[in-house]
Amino acid sequence: MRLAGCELRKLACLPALWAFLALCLAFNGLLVATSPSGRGAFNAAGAVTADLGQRVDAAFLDSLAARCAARAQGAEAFNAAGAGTAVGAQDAGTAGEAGSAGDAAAADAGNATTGDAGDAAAAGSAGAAAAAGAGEAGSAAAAAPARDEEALLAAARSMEDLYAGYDVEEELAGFYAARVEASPWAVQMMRWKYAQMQPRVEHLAHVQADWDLYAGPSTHDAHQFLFGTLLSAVVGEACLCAMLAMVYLVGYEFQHRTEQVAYASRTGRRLACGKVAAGLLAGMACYALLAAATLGGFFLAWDWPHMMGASVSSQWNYWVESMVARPFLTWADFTVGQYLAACSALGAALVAACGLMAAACGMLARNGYAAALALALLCTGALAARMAFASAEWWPAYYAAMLLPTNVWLSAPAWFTEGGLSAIVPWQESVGAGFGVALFGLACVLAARRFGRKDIVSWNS
Amino acid sequence: MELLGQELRKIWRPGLVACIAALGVLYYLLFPSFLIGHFNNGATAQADYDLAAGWVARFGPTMEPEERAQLDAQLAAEQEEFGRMAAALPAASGAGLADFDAFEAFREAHYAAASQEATPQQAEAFQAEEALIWEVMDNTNFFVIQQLQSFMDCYDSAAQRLPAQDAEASPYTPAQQARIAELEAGARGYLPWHVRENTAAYGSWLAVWTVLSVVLLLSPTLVRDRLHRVRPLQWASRRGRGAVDVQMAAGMLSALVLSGANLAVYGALFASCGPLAFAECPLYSWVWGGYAWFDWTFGQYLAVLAALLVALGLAAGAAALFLSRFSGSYVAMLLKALPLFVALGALFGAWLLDGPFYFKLPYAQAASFVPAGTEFACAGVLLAACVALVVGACAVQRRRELLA
Repeated sequence: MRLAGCELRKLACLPALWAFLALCLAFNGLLVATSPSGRGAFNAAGAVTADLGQRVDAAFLDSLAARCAARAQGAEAFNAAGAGTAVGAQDAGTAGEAGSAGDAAAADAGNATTGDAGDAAAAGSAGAAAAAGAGEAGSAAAAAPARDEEALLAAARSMEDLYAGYDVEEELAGFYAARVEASPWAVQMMRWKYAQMQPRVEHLAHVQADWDLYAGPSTHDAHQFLFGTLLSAVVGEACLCAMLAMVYLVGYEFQHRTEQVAYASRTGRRLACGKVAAGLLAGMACYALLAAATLGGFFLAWDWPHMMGASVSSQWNYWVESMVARPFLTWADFTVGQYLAACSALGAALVAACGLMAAACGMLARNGYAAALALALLCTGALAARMAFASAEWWPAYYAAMLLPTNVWLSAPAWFTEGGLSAIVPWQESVGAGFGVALFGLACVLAARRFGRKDIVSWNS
Repeated sequence: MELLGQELRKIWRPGLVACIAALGVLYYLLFPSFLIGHFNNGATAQADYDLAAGWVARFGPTMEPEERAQLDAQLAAEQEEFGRMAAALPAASGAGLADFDAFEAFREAHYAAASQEATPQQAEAFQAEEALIWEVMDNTNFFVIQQLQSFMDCYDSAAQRLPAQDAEASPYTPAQQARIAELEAGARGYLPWHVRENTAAYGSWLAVWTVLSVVLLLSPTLVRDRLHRVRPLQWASRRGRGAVDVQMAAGMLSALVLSGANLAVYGALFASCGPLAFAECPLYSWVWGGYAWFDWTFGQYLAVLAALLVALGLAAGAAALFLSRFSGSYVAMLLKALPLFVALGALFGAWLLDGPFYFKLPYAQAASFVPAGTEFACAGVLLAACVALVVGACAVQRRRELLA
């Protein structure tokens, strides 16, 4: 641990890393600032579900209707009071003007009291006008949540059973089996995958997951922004930090020509293990920092805390792939909070896989820049391989490429779902993350053994 | 010159160049290859291209009203040709569709019936009709006729276009309104819309790659000297501190060469799609729209885009050299290079080369278009700023008392 601490201190003394983290946070802030419209409607849904719960049933509809009616009555009373205030202000203003005219006449006579009364009337007139203006603004501000709640009520009333009678075979399996028909193996696996999904659909129908409101009509955009854009950006940035930190640590002794001091120590070449551990720790720390700061800021603006109990398989949540919109069918029951936790854990696994990949490249390449270029080629190559195999309809190779970290990261908007064309087995993203950790962990071990078996460690070797 | 040659050899290391080339191939396959492989994407775009290329050879870069009148005869000839091609299709001639008007009537009736509820038998008949229609469309010059008719309608509508009456109600500024009036009264160009759009998209991708390749090539330049601790050797040499000037010059020259090489490769691929057939056409398409600020031909426009790209590459190179001067390790440089690429390449470069000098928005939610020449100004300021950074770094280096 002491060794890892020393290694982490080396990273902490790298100002460029802190600057990079700050830039990442600024970029994420820009993403949040340009988040999709509909925040008002989303927060209105949060306020409603905080009081009435997520499950849309007769009691929910009645309570929401009563709430909307109460708001409407309150708004009418407010407007009526506001009209009275405006009339009163007008009268006060007229009185103020009369007072001012009297003040001018009295000033000629040198009557200070009348002048003071005129000033007070004028001030009162100005204050009443300000109050009338504020009342109009307040009326407009109160109207927006009222409109949102009415829209929510209309949306809730339009909800229907989604999962009862939903046939995955008819809706999705045939479509995707036709897409991969060039490979009999892929066809068989695709049909098997959707055969596993059908019991899940029946279970979701049984627990009425589709009757959770989530955020109503603003669900899809908000969900895709949080999980498909923001969390995806955080994971990507953390992976970059982890890879660069690892390359830095692994190449540190080579760069500073301290290998012959460091590897002659009591720890010797086992120092490499400490470096890898420190690199992984640093990657996780960067991930935690980026996630906490970014999501924390986002959750302050959007009322996500009140959504955490909603089912992600609500009928308002869907995703689109191959131009086919389908419900958000997950392999396990997830509330939004549980889904966020699961995605965060998967992100951490990807960060670890990327860190191990960087460790292997760093130990093999020795030169930090060469290691970075190798990483860039690996990541880009994985993406290109996926596209090439899909174009050539080499589906077994395509699904093998989908297990690589880059492609798992790109499928973030649909983690833990049936995955459409991109997935051939249940929980494929989890399998891919585990595969990445195992593959690059093995590569790291092999690279470390190769390094350990070198006769001489020098600047030239 | 000898020192310059040695510095160039340090920059253009075979392994680095090979990695950049490999990344370039992958980048091309991932992003701009679709635009080249599907430049005329679909039958309608292909028909637009074929028609317009034919008119350039026949009428020149503009189409005057008397030339437009000749399109009626062309349309009649195409419809006759359709009849001959459809008659050669057994399914079409058997269904009495060997005449264009008959086929159009059949098609319209088919799609009008599509919205109505159908029994399973009717649905099957509908699918059979749909297959027949597509067989005829795919095996005749249907799309050429369709796009020719569309072009003629747009030309006639443009010819009857009235000048804007209410200047205050217009969404355009007075300068933009004046330019629009000038364009609409000017040369009747017909540059196909998809040629303009694909040029913009391709330019964006090329800009991103140019910045990335230049940054990758030049990032390790001065860091390597620092890591190898050769700077004291350089400063104490006969050239002295002037060596850094040569290093920066070598870097800028390398940025220029690499930008030129990218331009040559991407330009050759782009030219293979045939857009140079419209080199003499006015940039503003009087028929299809697309208000442009300058009275250039499409060929001149491509030359300006190339110049912008080279300027962007030089700016990226200068910025990379400057950051490389102040980085103590490769990773520290990469931590600077990544944000540099995102800012200069993915954001600014992609915007700069995405349809410049047309009426375009500075960002998606903007309320008004950028003024004329904004792209020139932005590229010029950026290049000047980056070169000033490099010159300043050299000057600071020369004035230092000691090499610490």
